Amino acid sequence: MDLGPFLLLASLEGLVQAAVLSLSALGLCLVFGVLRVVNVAHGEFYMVGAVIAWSVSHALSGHPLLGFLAALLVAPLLVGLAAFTADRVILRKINHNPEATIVATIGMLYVIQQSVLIGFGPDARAMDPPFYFHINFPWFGYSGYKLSVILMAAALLLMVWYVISRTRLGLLMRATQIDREMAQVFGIPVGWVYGLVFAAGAMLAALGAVLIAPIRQVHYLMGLDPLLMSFIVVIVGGLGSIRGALLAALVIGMSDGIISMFFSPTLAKMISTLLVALVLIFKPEGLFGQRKS
Amino acid sequence: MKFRVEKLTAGYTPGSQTVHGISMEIDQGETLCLLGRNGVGKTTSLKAIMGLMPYTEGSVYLDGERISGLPTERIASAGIGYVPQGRRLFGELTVQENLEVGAYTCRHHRVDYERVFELFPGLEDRLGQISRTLSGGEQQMLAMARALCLDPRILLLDEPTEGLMPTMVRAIAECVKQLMSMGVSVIMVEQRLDMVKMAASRICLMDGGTIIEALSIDELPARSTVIRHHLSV
Repeated sequence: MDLGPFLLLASLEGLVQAAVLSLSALGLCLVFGVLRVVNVAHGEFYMVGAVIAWSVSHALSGHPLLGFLAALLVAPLLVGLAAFTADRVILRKINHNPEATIVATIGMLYVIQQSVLIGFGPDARAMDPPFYFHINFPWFGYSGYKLSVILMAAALLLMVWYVISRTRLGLLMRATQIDREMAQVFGIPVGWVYGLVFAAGAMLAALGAVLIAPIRQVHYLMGLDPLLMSFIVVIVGGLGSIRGALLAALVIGMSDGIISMFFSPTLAKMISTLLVALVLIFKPEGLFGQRKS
Repeated sequence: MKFRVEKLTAGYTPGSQTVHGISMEIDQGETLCLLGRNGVGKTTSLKAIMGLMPYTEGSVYLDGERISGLPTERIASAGIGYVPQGRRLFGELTVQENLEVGAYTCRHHRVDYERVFELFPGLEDRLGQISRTLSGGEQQMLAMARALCLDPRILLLDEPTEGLMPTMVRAIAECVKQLMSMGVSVIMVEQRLDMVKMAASRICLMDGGTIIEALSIDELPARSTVIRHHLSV
């Protein structure tokens, strides 16, 4: 294949990567932005989302589209419920203290991972795509499902933007993010807002996982890579900045996809990590983060 | 409406109390002013009433119901509005969004714009403006308007005239008087005697974390030398 078509193919792969990464990173970014805590278990919510998606699609007989749509509904709901419960039972008890939360979510990471290992097993399992069709370019054919992942992720991001910027819940989230104490002064139940945001962050990760499950295999260790990539995106974009996270997800996802195809996935990860190091040295607040006065 | 603070003792750190056993009462439509120099516990008193600061002793009652010990959001829902020192607007939100947050505890979360614009007409044309871009006086007006959206029975104002021009001070004094006529009670921390004379109905002079003297506004001229002494650094 010539360079041009190969670059187009790599860009499409990068876009798919960026689409899923933006959902996962946005979840992490929301949690950090509002709660000011780092959720180390974020990748495990992603993994559980994929495991639930696989389980639901296998439990339902009939057309794979039916199982996929059910998974798209059930997985984020269950993961969101689990995250909300974790927030109320664990994080609230430690008052969302940043340091203690890191330790607590590391604990959650291992508990979730090992529970899935016991229940789901160590084997990687494939999930059928909801539909099979190819878009035929003059040089190669490309999976229609992969292109639909980009569109679905874009639609989901648009919905998230609408909720945050145009709804009462979004307003409460933004007010809590800006000044938790003043939000309480106006009667906002900050504890519930925290629980909902923590659940929403996990649900976004789970949605990303449901979209990617028919492309990649479902495995109990699959949460580590998205966790690392989401951290990279959130740091490069600026901690807590949604705009920054989306832009960084696009850039890092695209570069990761392209470099992986032209060279190797390992080199792509090395370059992403190097980018984080450079950002931390030259612009520690990230591309769109606010510099502390 | 009756608001009562009984022997409240509070401070930033356990074992080191800033406020020692203060007591006060306020009736509907009254403005009580806490006077005193910096560091005597005026702001701490308001924060403790609002549940933003731990207290070791004492109680706060609103219409006979004990509200001290409740979480801040429930104290707000009970009808206590708070305008903190430095205003603390949600700076990235628009004027309208700030007012909507203020109205969170109201029925249907609706902002009573008619009431807001009657008291603060300058905000009507600024609804879409990001609040941190307002002038200092406008920000103070918004901070008060936001607290009013909660439809409070008691409004706690912490140095509302800090850093404002004399014309704005007069405007804020007028607002406080209008609030009194609407039946809202105000507890105001203030260091400017001109503001106190314009807006207060009673005064509590604080020193060393306690109320050392309580007087009505009519008694102010006779005690002005003592009060000035307690306001000077």
